Parts: sequence; C-alpha cells; structure tokens
Amino acid sequence: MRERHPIDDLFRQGLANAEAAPPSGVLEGVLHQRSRGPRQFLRLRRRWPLFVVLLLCGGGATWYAASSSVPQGTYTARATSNTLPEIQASRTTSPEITTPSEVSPKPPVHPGDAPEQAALLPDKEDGPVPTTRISETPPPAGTTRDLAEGVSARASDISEKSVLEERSAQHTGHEPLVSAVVSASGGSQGTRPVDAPALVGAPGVSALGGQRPLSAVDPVHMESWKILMTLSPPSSTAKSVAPPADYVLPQGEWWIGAGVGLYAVGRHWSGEDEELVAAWREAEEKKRDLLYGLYFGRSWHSGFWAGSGVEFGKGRSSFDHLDQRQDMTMAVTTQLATFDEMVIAVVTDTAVIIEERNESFTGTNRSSVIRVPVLGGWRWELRRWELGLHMGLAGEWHKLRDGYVLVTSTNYTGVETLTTEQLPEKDRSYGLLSTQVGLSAGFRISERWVISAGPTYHTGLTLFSSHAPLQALPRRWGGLAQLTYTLPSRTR
Amino acid sequence: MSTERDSTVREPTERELVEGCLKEDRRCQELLYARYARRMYAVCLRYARHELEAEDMMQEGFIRVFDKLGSFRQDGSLEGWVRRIMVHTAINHYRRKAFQQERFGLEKLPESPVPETVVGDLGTQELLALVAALPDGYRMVFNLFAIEGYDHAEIAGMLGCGESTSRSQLAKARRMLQERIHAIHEPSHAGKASDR
Repeated sequence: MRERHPIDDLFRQGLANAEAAPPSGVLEGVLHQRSRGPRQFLRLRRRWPLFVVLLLCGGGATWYAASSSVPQGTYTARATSNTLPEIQASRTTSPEITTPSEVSPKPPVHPGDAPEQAALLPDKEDGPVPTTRISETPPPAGTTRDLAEGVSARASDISEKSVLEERSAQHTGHEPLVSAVVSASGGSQGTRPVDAPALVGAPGVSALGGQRPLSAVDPVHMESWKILMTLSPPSSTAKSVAPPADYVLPQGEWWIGAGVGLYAVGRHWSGEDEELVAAWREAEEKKRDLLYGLYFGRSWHSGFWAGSGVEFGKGRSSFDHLDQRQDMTMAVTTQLATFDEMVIAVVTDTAVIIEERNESFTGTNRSSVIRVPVLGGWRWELRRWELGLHMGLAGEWHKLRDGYVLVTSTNYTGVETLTTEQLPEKDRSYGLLSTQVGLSAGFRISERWVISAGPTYHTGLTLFSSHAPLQALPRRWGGLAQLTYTLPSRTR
Repeated sequence: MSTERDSTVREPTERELVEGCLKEDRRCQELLYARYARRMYAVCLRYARHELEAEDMMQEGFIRVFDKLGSFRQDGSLEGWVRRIMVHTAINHYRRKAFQQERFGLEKLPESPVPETVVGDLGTQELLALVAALPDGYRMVFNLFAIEGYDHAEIAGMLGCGESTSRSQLAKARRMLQERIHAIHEPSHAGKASDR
C-alpha cells in the first residue's frame, strides 16, 4: 500500500504538469554538442578494447624499438689528434662469462704496434660514455708484465662485475648484455670490437685484438683502459650497487601488491527445501562484486610464485519476488430444524475460506565479502612482458547488509520474504571455502613495478557451516588488475 | 495567403518526429524540442538547485534524447520517454555531486497538517522554489516519490541507497516542506488578521 501524504498531493497537483520557459540557446547548445565532441567521444568509448590493445601494442613496439635502436655496441668518439682515432665499443651478448682463471690466454700480440691503446669505461657504472679524450702525454715506460698484471686485474674486476651483472639481469629477466669499449691510438691500426668475455679472458693485450705490443703500451694509459658494461633496459639495473664479495644470489624475492577486481556473480543454490531453492533462483538476478585486495608473496627464479592476501568487496544484486500466501480458515456451521422443542434435523456444514494474498518485493540486496586467498602460480617472462596463470583456495565471509531474504514461512505453507532487519544477525552472515583460477598478462613498468591484468574465475566449494539448510555458493567471473612491487633483496 | 497555407500545414506526429530526428533532420529536432522543452525544463527545475543547473540538465538530457531516440519503441508515449530520460539525467547529476551524506537536525521540525488554504495560495513558482530549497538527497527522493510516483525500492535502486534511507529522506523532506509552508502561510494570515 502506497503511503499518501497531503504534502505529496499538494506538490503533485502543482508540479506534475508544470511548465516553464527554458532559457534561449539550449537547443543550439544541444545541437552544437551533438555535432562534435561528446557524440564522437561516445562512439570512441564503445571501442575502448581496441584502444587498449593498440596502446599495449604501441607501448611494446616503442619499447622494442627504443631498446633495439641503441647502436649495437658502437660508440664513436672523434679523435682530437692523430693519436686518438676512433673509439669503438662493442656490445655483445655474453652467454658465457667466465672468470679470468678459467679462460685460456690469447696468442701474444704482434710487437711494434701502436703504443697507446685505451678502453673506455665510465668511472661510475651509469651508462655509456660516447666520447673520451685521452691525454697525449708521452707515456712512461712500462713492461709487458706490468701491463699484463694491470689488464688481468682489470679483467678480473670486470669478470666479477659481469657475473654480478649477469645475475642481476637474470634477476630481472633480461638478457645480460655486456659491452666493452676498446680504443687504440695510432690510427693506422684502427680498432675492432671486442667481446667482454674475450677481454676478460685475455691476460694481456690480446684482449684488445692482438694488434699491439705489450712493451709499447703505456702503463699510465693502462689506467685509462675502460670497460664499458651496460645492461639492456631497464637501465636502473646498471646502477645497482656492487654487492659484497661473498654475495649469493637470492633464491627468491618477496613482493607486495594491490589489486582490484570486477566480477559478475551468480549464486548456485542447493538444499533440501526445493521450493525455497527454486524461489531463490527465481528471485535473485545476477549481481556484481567489486573486490579490492592487498597481497604479498614470494616468487622464485623458476617463475613459480606463492602468495596470499586479503580482499574486501561489496556486491549488489537485484531481488524480485512475489509472495503468494494462502490463508485458509475453516468454519463449521450447524443448522438445526426444530419443531415444538424437538430437533427434527441437524445439518452441519464446513466452510473452507481460502484467502489469497499477493505481495511483491523488489529491491537491491547489498552485501559485503572478505576473502583471504592463498594462491600459487607461474609466470613466464618475455622481455618486459609477463604471462601467468594462478590458482588457489580462498576463505570467504559474506554478510548481507541490506535487502530481502527468502525463508520458509512458519505461518503458512510456502516461501516468505523478510527484510534483513527482521533476520537475526547470525543468519545474515556465512562463510565458505572457494577456489579460483586465472590468467594474467603483465608489463614490467620498471625493474620492480609490474602491472598486470587478466580474467579470473572463482567458485564456491562448500559452506563452513555444514548444517545450513540452504547452500548458496557464489560463482564469479571477471577481471583482476594488479600492481605489484618486488622488494629489494637483502644481501648477505 | 500565408495564413491559409499555414492552416493546412499539420503538426507532425510523434512517429514522424522521431523518424525525422533519426535522420538528423534539423527541423524535426527543433519541433521535438519545442514540443517538450517547457515541461522538461520544469522537470529539471524540480531536480536542480538553481536555474543554471537546470539548464545543464536540460541540455544534457536533450543530447541523450537525440542520441538514444533510436531505442524509443513507438508503443509508448514519447513525452513519458523523454521525461524518464530527464529524470535519469537528473539522477546522474545528483550522483556525480555526491551530496548524499547530508544530515540536518530535522527532528525539531513540527509534524502538522498542511492548511488547505495554502494549496490555493502557492503557485508553480513558489512550489518550485520550495522544492529547490531542499537538500539534494531530500529533493531527489521527494521528487521521485511524490511527483514521479516511484516507490522506495525503485528509488533505492536508482539512487544507490537503501530503502530505509529513501523512506527517512522522504519523511524529512516532507517535514521540511511543511515547516516552510507554515512559515509562508503564517505571516500572510497574521497580515490578514491585523487588517481586520
């Protein structure tokens, strides 16, 4: 029964069909707006998946182009005099980086070659230096042994760094790219690119291409031998602080993350009371859950990871039910026919009065849920991209906050609708065990930050309270987007 | 001559108007606007706090009307359909403003019947002003319930609040309106009494 109120009537009569002159220019504004911006925007908005795909492809292509457009190990410095010809660096992939002791020495170089050779390496490992000027001061005399020791020591240093860089690169999923920059004065001999491993492996000038006599090499200039070591993007890896000598590569890394998921939810109803189950199936329409979560976990270099977290969500579903009650009353009537105080006939009649009442309940049910998932998964990395899958179990605690529920009526046969206020608090909450499985595609924004998204499916397995007369197990299907941060590893 | 010609030009039917608008016929768009603009502006005024907001609603509403005209089924009234779009535009405005958490100490307001004489005294402008002066949440619920005829469940669904919230906001809106009507009514009666 709709409530009536004199205030409502007063305003309805006065305003229901009221008219007012609109300001001029509204129609022009409408037509102008429709002729361009918003309408086109609406059209474009419907194509957002295409834009997302294009954006991702464009980002990937840009990154790929940017990473491959770095000159393949060639940095050229213009010589300031004849003593400084081209300085050339070689950046090559170094799958086998070894320590100096493991590398056999190269054949000795030819004596009598140019006296100066230089390799370039920025003093700080923060990227390539394209040009370097080397002093033309006549070098003091040096010995082959000095040179060999100097280069060997440097090579050892490089080797150690290379190994560490390689670990770091493995750590971030990128190919270890090691560059060596080698320079020689004398111009006529030119230069040639040198692989870092070759350089590392050469205890003497042979690492430089075997074109200079050791005796002619200036030990002072040996100090200027630089090895340029760079890593492919992300460049931040090149800035990593050198770990201590007894550094051991961590087995795994801890990560933390935050995520949001939007799911379409249906509930699978089951129970002994078939009428109630059927009524629920009919009354409740598919709903929507929005879940926010905080997560943590550990990932290993093999690609496997395990994690847990807590998710909080709010859901809503539409409820529409027609309560059809049948109130039955029986009346017994007795009629007596008497004549002169004598009962001639007795007629007893039973009247059954069936009163049918229909009451419609329509509204939105609001609920909240807390989930605690325990997940495991595997990630496959391709440069900055990641593909992954995960699965696991979760405990869920649901609470109906506002709306209607169906119960088996105690007053009459059939199903009755109650509001949440009429329900005891304990009947508005329930817990269940669910499982989930999902896929994800991610992009490594930087060395430690990864953003990912993908489809996820949850399904309820069983209620925690087994004596419940009715079981409602949710099934969610939707998308989960996550932002994760890999915590820095502790060195030991 | 021109008068004769004008008299022979008949008003286009709703179907013709809709079809013309779907073909982006400017004349049909103007006719449709002219036909419903006054009533729809009054609807917007009821939901808005001031005329500028009503004008915004009106413009946005008519943009949606023209954009979604293709989904109008000819079996119902076009005016009713346009009106529903205006109401939903107003609701979207309200949601964007997120003024849903207004709380007023209305418990002090008196609960008394509206004097019948007031009904005749108040014109459309006064009624609109009274409604416009309500807080946003109250105004939305009052308009939807009292004038549009939606029930609390529907209002709760539309505004994203609970039914109990809708009920309480309606009650508070009524009490606030009563209070203001009394405030208008009593000085006028006091004036009449003093005239005597």
